[in-house]
Amino acid sequence: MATMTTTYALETRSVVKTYQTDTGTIQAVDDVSISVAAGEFVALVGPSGSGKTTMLSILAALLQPTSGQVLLDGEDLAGMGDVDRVAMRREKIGFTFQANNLVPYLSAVENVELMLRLNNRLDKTGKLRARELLARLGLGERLNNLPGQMSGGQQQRVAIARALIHNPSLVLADEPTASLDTERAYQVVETFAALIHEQKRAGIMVTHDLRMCEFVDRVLLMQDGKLVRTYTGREEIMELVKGGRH
Amino acid sequence: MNSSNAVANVILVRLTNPEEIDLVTQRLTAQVKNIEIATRQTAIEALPGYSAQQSTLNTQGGFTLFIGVLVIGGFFQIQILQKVAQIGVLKAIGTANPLVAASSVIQIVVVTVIGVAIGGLLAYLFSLTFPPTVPIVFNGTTSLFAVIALLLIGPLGGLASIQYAVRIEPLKALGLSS
Ligand SMILES: Nc1ncnc2c1ncn2[C@@H]1O[C@H](COP(=O)(O)OP(=O)(O)OP(=O)(O)O)[C@@H](O)[C@H]1O
Ligand SMILES: [Mg+2]
Repeated sequence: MATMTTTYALETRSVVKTYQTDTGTIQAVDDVSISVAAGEFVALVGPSGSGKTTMLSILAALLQPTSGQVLLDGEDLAGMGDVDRVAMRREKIGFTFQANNLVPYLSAVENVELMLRLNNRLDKTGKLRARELLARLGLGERLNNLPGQMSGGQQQRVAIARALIHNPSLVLADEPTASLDTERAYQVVETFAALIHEQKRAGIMVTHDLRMCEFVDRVLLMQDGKLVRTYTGREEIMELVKGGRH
Repeated sequence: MNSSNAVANVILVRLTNPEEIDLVTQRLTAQVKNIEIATRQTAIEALPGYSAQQSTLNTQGGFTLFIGVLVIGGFFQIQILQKVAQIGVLKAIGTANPLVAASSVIQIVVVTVIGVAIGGLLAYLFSLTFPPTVPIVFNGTTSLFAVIALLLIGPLGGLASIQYAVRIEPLKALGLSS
């Protein structure tokens, strides 16, 4: 462990990501510093092309920033070699993607157990916890269904269970409600938020749907790669939710 | 022997002790005029056309194996291509590259073994239906050689696809990087 002490589960310092293209240099993420505490659920919003996915990919240890630091439990993801970053993804990070989330030939419960299996931690307790977590997400009757036999919302909830089962410090969700109708979307995000709060994870969700911000503790607004505004407190957030614009 | 119309007589001599071949050769050449001594293998190979035909068959066999490498390699490559998104998810959630490689190897070996077993069995069954006039013999050594060669070309053909699987970038596979 680093000697650095931090009260935040996740802390980024001046993260920059630039892309070189034919037409010039793009600052996809421009000097973003954020901190998320354990048990805090944060939404990342912003117009198309503002750098949300790029930022989330950096936090997920899937993409190396051009410069800056990403401290997860005090360890800098940006300064790590590939093997260590893969290990961080396996041990400390939970991730739900917008699509293609699950392994199609594994059942719901096997998909969740997979995360423990990868960590060599699949024992009796783990199997029980996987079942409990799925039941908690309303999938108690669907444990042995294959992804193809489940609706989009059910698959998304399996992915959420998989993102939480190994007790990661950081849980990331990219547009978790994109394929859901409004009612389902509310249910999924509400349960997700509850689990993040209960289990004391640092949670970050990218969303286009400002109504989903109702369940988060803080909203970060990005524009042109920069963090331009932070909404904290119920009132401010509810105003944003009702306004429906960013 | 009538010299104007050469006729060859072939007499096979089986030795009780194969070690004595030199001694027997000496004795025979001493006692019989106009004689050539050869082992059965040499005699068969000296038959007109035998070596040529044999080498054609061997070349065909070699080419079949070579084509097998390409076909099996292509087969596994397509299989991997169909699984890019899946492998991308697995890598994104932290599957280490050695595990991805090992899984690919195991899968290729299992598929190859099953394939060779089925193929070998069919070949054997076919060989039983051949009339004796078909000049092909399946003996232990050549069959074993073919089976081993086939088992090896699976992983060999699959090498490219294993490398491909290891190189899959989770970000690209998930369509997150535009
Ligand atoms: N691999 C890449 N190469 C070049 N430019 C890229 C790459 N990935 C992203 N960008 C650019 O970086 C900027 C931020 O992209 P990003 O995908 O992070 O935006 P976003 O906020 O997720 O947008 P959306 O809401 O449309 O998903 C965009 O201008 C995009 O074109
Ligand atoms: Mg995006």
